[in-house]
Amino acid sequence: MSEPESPLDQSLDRLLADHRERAEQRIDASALLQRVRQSREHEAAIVASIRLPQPPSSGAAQAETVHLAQPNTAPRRAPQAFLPRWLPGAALAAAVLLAALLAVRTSGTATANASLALRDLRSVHLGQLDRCYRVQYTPDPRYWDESNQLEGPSHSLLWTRGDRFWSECTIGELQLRIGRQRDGALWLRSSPQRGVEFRSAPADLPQEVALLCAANSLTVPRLVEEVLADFDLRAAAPADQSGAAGLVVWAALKPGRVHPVVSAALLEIDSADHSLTRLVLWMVRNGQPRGTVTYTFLESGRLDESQYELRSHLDEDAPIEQQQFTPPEQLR
Amino acid sequence: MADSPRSDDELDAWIVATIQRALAYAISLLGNRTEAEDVVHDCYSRLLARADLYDLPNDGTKLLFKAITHACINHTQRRKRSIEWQAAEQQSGGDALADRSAVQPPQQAMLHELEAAVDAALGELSPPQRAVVELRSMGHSLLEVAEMLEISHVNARMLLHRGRARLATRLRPFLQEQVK
Repeated sequence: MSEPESPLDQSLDRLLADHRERAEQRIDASALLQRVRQSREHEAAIVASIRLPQPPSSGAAQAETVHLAQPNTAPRRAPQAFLPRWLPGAALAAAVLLAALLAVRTSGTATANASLALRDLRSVHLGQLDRCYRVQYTPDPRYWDESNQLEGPSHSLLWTRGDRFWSECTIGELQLRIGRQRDGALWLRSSPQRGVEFRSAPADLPQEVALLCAANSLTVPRLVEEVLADFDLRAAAPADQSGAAGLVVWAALKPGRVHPVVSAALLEIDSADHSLTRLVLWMVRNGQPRGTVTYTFLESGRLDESQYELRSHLDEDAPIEQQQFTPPEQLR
Repeated sequence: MADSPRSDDELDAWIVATIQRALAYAISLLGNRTEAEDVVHDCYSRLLARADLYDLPNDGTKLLFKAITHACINHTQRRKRSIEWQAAEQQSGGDALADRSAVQPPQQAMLHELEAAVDAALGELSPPQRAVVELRSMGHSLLEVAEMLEISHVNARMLLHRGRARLATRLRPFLQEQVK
């Protein structure tokens, strides 16, 4: 249906269109383009690698995984190499050897840079400064059937200091606060009248609580310890051509390693103060991609110590429940 | 469902062709470049995850702008802090707008004034009003806009009418120039 437009409306549309065109010309989207491309490549690699160490148990699940892998994971086919027949075998071997050496050297340097950057990052985040991040979890539409609200899209404001955190999460219509206090206990507050402390080891927590914490509140020290332990690291050139952005570190699971909830990570580290400016986590569960979590730095400051304690988020007379979990066999 | 899976190159070409406009649109709705990048990245990721279901090079742009519109409106509604467009401009690392403030020939000064006025006027609209006005000025029909925002045609028309009326009041001097 076409709408009759007055000359004033047409004039306004022209004004806005010109304005938008000028804005488009000013904006440099190359950093974002690089991020989207790297994401695609990484996603494809993750889906491919997930299929190898953890083959699905049922035939149906296997069929789904194979189907998923096809459109995105097909590796870019290298152009067919036509080698002249006269090329001596020794020269070919030397070329291959040289290429391999160069590749190892480049990749070794990138790995070393990344490891150093993450050590600096960890050390900076162990300090006493409070940092606030916006955290967004977007489930993979292929695997979220919308039946479990806890696994649906969520967004949070996360405050961290060292390994402590507290986060205000909105998951669908659910509003929760979660945190980890000075003594290491995780807590969850569903209303000012109801708070629960979890005294169990992280591995013993119920799967939903563990996933909720992993998706909404990964602190940098904990992340770096896990990333350094089980992931291959690669430092990439800064995505921002202006040089404003710092180092970009890609982390992917080492071959044969399995992490219960994270399969890969992208970290953007401020080159000036070595703090985390952006983090993207690719979540996985039961060998299937579950979605991505994006942490974006908002501000730093000083919060009152008590903000990390459950008590300060409850009414004065509200009781605190203590919960201890015995892990089910399959999670051990 | 797409007839045949698109090649990596075709999808990449589609991303390259749309990303600049998508980012500019998200920045306009959110007024913050960092948040806009996150939203646009997220929308691409979700669409690309379903590249086997959609014919992105042909139908993807409308889907992309629909996803960005929803994400930005949701984002704005829950955002606690409001950052002005001007702040985002500074954050984006100094652009042509900022550069123009040095030595200004009269035409550039007028352009600068126009840019600031349009930014300020758009900033006064509610996110849905801004989305409708912007999508309409991109050439989408009102029916398409209503579909993209998942609202009724009547509602879309009302948002457009109110948004335009407000812009027209704020930008009257520039519009009169243009009509002349």
